Amino acid sequence: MEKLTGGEAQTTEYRPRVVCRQHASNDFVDSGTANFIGTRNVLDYATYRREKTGAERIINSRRLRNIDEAFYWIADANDTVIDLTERSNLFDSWKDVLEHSMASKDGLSISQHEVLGALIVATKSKDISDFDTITLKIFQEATNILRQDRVLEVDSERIIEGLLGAGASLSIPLNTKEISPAEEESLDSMMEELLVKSREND
Amino acid sequence: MTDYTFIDTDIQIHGLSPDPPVRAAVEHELNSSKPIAMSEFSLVELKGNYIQDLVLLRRKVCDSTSLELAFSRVQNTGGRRAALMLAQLIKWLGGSAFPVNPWAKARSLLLTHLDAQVLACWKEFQRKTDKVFADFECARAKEGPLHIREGWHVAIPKCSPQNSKCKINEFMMKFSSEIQALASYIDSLDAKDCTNELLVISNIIKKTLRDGVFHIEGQACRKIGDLLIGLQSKSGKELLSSNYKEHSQLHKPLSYNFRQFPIANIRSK
Repeated sequence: MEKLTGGEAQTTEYRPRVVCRQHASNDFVDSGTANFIGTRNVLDYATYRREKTGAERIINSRRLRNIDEAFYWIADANDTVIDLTERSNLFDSWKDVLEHSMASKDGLSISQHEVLGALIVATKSKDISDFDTITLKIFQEATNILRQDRVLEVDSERIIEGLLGAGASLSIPLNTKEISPAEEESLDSMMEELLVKSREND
Repeated sequence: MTDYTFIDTDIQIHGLSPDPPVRAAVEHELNSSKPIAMSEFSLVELKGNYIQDLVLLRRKVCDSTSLELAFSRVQNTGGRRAALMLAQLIKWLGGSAFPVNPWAKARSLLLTHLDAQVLACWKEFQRKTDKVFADFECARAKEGPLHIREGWHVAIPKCSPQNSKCKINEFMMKFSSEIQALASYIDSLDAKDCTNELLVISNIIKKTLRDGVFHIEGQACRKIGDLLIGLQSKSGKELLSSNYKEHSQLHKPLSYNFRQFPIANIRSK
């Protein structure tokens, strides 16, 4: 094992964060970063920070590239000159990228989550024909906002208010007061199944 | 007096029920009883209940290194209700097919939706009504969920003259005759009809009548939420609520129309 160097590296706080490849999927470092950093077991903290920042930049730009692509898809889906079948496919591709973008990397800001989550709830199980032109334009504007590295709180609020104003429903029904005993049992068994899967990964 | 039908906080929360008949019944009420209004105090209650639960889930998911840990933390701190809420969210995201591994991805999915729900619910609650009545200009009702660093701040501070420039005292004094009648009415109730909430209300209003002033310190308003919402609904034609135990008593001395939302009959068996 290499010796940790540098003042900060001596603190226990950073010790677990030093990458061990077999822990790449754990909470400290995402797998993309771990792949970028490579196979070495231990890094000094300064190198780790430098390389991690580089890895994040690459991953972020990949996410931004995808969102950028999604923006053109939703923009084209709004183009009424294009055939409806194609517009529908563009719309579905846009939705896929949003889903992928949500799962692809941790580390999005709260405002980015707000915009992304609102778009996903508003479009869940829906096709382009379920929305009017105004709502589709808001989707386009929201995607444009997500293309930026940083989303301002005022922007995420504006998008959510715009979607609600256009009649979209953004709430997921999570109130548990009205759950029937049968439904409660079904949720319990689903969670048991998922917890087993979660343990298998440990 | 206006044509507004006031909806109680619980009606908004029923609107987020996973049970489709309950959601449909709320939707029907909101469309057929227009114009709809709510008291500003309902916002404090919504923030203090539903939104607090969302933020608890968010915090536990964010701080955990596996679903197992997140679920156990949610259960330990938020109890059964919060655990079911997390399960309900996971069900909405695919149920047994939810991609629980790798956890970083699963966590990202959950956080995206929890963050979006905090803001969307806060905004949607207000949008569902045609008007929010703010007769006592509650300082707490104006405080929406706030971003702090990488999380949310939704705690409701205790009121004091320093942090509350509200008009609750004027509001209570405006209804002093109704409050007087309520104090006598609660005293005359049989023990079986007198709930703990009514007893708390009785104690607070007796103190107000004795001192000639409503003491806002602490969480006095939150202890008498049913009374505040009942009094505010006197500005409209009726109050729609599923809270039968309290409002079936309060509406008599306070003279507002109470219409029960029959949740027990609507709920799927």
